[in-house]
Amino acid sequence: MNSQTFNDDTDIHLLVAAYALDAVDDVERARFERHLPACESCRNELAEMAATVARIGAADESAPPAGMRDAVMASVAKTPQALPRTHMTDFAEAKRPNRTVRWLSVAAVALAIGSVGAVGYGYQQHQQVESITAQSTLVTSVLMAPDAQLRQMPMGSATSTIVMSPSEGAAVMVASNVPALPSDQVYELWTVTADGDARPAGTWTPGTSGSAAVPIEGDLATTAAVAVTVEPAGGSAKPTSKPIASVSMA
Amino acid sequence: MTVTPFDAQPATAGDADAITRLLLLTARGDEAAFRQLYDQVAGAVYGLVKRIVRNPAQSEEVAQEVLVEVWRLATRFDPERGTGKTWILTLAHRRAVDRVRSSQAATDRDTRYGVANHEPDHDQVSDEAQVRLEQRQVRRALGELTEVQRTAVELAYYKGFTHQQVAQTLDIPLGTAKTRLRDGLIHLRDAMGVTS
Repeated sequence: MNSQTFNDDTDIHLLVAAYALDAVDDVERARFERHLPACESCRNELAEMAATVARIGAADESAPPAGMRDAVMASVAKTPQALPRTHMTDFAEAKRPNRTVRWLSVAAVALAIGSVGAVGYGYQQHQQVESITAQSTLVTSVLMAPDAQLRQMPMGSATSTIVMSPSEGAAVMVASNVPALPSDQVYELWTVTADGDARPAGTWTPGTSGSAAVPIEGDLATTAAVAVTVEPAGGSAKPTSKPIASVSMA
Repeated sequence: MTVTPFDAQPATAGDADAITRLLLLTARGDEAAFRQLYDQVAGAVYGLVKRIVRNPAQSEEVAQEVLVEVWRLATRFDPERGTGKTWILTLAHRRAVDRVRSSQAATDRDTRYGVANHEPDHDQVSDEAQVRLEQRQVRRALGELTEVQRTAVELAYYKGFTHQQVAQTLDIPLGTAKTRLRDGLIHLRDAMGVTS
């Protein structure tokens, strides 16, 4: 690991403006956000810089498309709100001991997202890119959650980790070195109940470099284990092969 | 409410405190408050996103995602850290930049292309029918920056460049790029009388 990148805090204060302008990569953003709770001068400077940047943005105001309001309200009607963060969790986050592990997972995800994002962007693929963007936002918020928990899930020659955040109510699987499959097969995630009932939790294929960062769908409260199988393209309603990986979530 | 492109006085001209209040009500799950909040900020969100993403259909999608995110994340808005409008526009800029970056990574557009075609889009702004005080103020403030400061801020803000990409494009050291962005924003802050 490059210690300069991860441990040298001497120049982090200089990142305030770049952060306010979103001119940082995901790793720098996370690093700066970790620094903020402990640095009052950065917080004060950021408040002014963010307000300045917002003024630049406000100058471009233009009438939104007519149908947008109804579409937003329809979406809002079925979208639950995030649980609030508390000051206690902010402090817990600042003092969290296992930051090396978390940083490694962030870096792995950044790599995975980068490679998934590089699949090519055509008119028809834009739906796909859109969903990847939405997924990477979810993945980032799970990884950055103050209560994120990591579980290693051995998967043959691949390495994979389940990251779960009770406060986000979500979990993701991050993997690297995953072998590519023939085009008529996909990997499928499963959430397994305490009774051994396997429920489909999403299909996925690794990016060109063998990486993946995939949200795990379904109700985590009743999930005793997470597993992965290889299934026919399109996925299955029930597993049709033995798991190639599984991990207890208890 | 009937809105036409020319006589529309987008409601975001309205006061920042009202937006903050509506956001705090939204945080309690008040959908009626969110509906009012939408009317106050949708124009600003959409305009900001369109300026950066440029493609109208994609801009609408991103703006829509941002507004749903405002609903979803309102519970985490902290009024002690800034106004509701700043919080919402910060979210909008981040999502717009995310979209530009994922498209650009995919089209493999390199940074030289970005700078060769880099012209401040002032004409596009004046197309929006009303050149308001706010726009003039922002333009004037940007115009007062040094060439390097202005280019650095514009590449970051309007094109979604990271500070490393700014440094590489302008052929200046990394530390210098960070400093130019910082000096540029401090100047803009003072020129526009921002107090946070």
